Amino acid sequence: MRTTVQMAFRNFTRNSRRFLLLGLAVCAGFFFVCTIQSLVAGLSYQVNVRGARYYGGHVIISIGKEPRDIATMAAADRFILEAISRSGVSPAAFSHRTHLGSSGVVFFNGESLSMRRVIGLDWASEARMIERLQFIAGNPGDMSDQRGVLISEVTARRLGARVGDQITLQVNRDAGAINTVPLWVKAIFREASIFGFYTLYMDRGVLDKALGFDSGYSASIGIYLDDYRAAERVAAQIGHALNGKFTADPVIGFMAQIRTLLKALSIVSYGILALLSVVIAVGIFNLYRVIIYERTREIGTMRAIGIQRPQVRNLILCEAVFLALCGIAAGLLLSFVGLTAVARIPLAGAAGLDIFLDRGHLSWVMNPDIICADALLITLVTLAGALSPARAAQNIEPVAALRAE
Amino acid sequence: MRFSSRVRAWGLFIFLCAAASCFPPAAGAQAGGGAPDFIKILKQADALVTFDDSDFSALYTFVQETPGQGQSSKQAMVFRRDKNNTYLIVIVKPDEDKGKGYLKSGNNLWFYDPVSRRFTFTSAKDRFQNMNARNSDFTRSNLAGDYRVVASVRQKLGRFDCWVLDLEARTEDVGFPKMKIWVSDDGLVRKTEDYSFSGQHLRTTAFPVYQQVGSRYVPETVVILDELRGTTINGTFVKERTTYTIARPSLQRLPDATFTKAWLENLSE
Repeated sequence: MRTTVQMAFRNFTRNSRRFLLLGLAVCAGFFFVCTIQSLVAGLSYQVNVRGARYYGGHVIISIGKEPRDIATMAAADRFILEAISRSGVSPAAFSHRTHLGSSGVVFFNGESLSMRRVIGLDWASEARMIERLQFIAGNPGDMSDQRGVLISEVTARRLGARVGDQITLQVNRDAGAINTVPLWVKAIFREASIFGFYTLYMDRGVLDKALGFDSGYSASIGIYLDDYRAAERVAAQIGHALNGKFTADPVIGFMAQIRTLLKALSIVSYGILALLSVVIAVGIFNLYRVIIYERTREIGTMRAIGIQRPQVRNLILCEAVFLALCGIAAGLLLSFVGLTAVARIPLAGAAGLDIFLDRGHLSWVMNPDIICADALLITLVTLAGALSPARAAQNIEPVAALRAE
Repeated sequence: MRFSSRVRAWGLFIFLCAAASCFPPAAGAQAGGGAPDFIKILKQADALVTFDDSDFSALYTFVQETPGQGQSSKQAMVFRRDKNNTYLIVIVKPDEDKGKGYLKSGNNLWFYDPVSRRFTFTSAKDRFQNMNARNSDFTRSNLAGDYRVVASVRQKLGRFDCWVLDLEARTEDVGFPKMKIWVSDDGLVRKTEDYSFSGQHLRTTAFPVYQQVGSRYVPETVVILDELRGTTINGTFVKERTTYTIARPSLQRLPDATFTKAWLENLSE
């Protein structure tokens, strides 16, 4: 076998021009697949990062909004944390949050602005996640002050507020009574998507008190994961452990339309992969038939000097593997260069794209497992394309081959 | 010596009389002595502006003044049936808002948009047509039921001698958990200040003139100042203001169909 591989490698390197066209086909196929999948993964990553920051984790366990006494809340909290532990999940971080929908209004210097979401969080446990926002003024570290608030650039501009200003948040308590709470702007972040425009981050205890909830209340417990792609599986595991008492949802579940869009993009990318696989397989099949025809005498000579039929087949297939590996490597390199170039194109403000952008640019993620799977698939497709010509080659009779022109 | 002690005694007496006339009576004390029944005052204030034994309709004209942005106005017909805790408001001006309406039935409040021809739930605590009035301002007054008096003081408000009552909500169902109201001696509310749960002053409402309709009273003009919204002009904070006048008040009985969704839909056709 080793001899076959060595011979195949020598053939492949010495007759590289012969394989150039085939290599380009494999390279182009892998480039397209890799680029599209990396971009889709990048979009998915961005949405998940934003969603996790907005909803408080990659998996969200909703506790509910009905007023609860401290003992019941503590029991629910304990039950959920035990369920997470039982499910065997090891979260990167936890969040306890209270949030307010569109009924929050902020006032500053006579201006008012309705907030899309007012988020009450525990800074100590979520600082690492929230500090990944792009801050343009102030120091998010100052959020350790309970009366601190983080507002978006859009909110700051509309209110005319700056870091250090005191704004007033108006909320409706559970039964509807109006309450207000003074907050000090500690930092201003830039987030152009729907996840940031009118979002406000503040201390959970202060928000709970303003809303009339007991101290320690949280509307949801969130789990941050190291790999966001595991969210659906982890949610199912935890949901099972929660035994129907509470629900656990992957954060993407809160964004049905985006989830559909990402699924559609993913399906399209796999469709392209399938199409390219067929094109590569057919192309390699045809080109290999020509190559085998051109190498009839060479194969006849090999057979004449004692190389067995399976060895001839394996030789051709090994050459195909080298071809595939070289094409994949070139495609990967090209994809890397292409993605890096695409990520430099400024797209800030592009309608509908904000949610997928990282600081105004497309981002991409090359997931090693997906890349390896793609590479394996392309290699198998190349082998499949070369298999029939390789079988034809092994059946060449030495005498007939040597007699051929 | 005797003379001087008499002078001193008279002096002290005159000083005490002067002091008593200068300062208003202590909180909770009535002008004529003794604390009045504040619940009774609130009930009277409610009764004078509530139409339990008849329907009520009137034309309301709203003028919204946003400092630095000018004025805008709207007109609406308001129909109330207080005994059923129901009202219907339909916008008649300007043309772009014509046909929009609100229907309150018990605790439910719907907003009707004639363009989409759909009813959507809204809250009594929301602002009315993005002005400083609230949807709850058009319903029956229930100060005595919703609030308890926590402090009181006599005060003169313009030409009116008033009781100033600090109110705290009995439940959290009401929009404003704290209020300060000025009730004149004729039993009418002349001014209110609305506060948030934490004590933030949110808005001030003045009812300078009432018109009598049958045995009830309806404000002629209501002025609402938003304490949080406004603009600083030349270093002075100018508050947003909504003024509404109430014209053609009537206590005529209204058809039952008036307080239905179908009636509101038909109006816009």
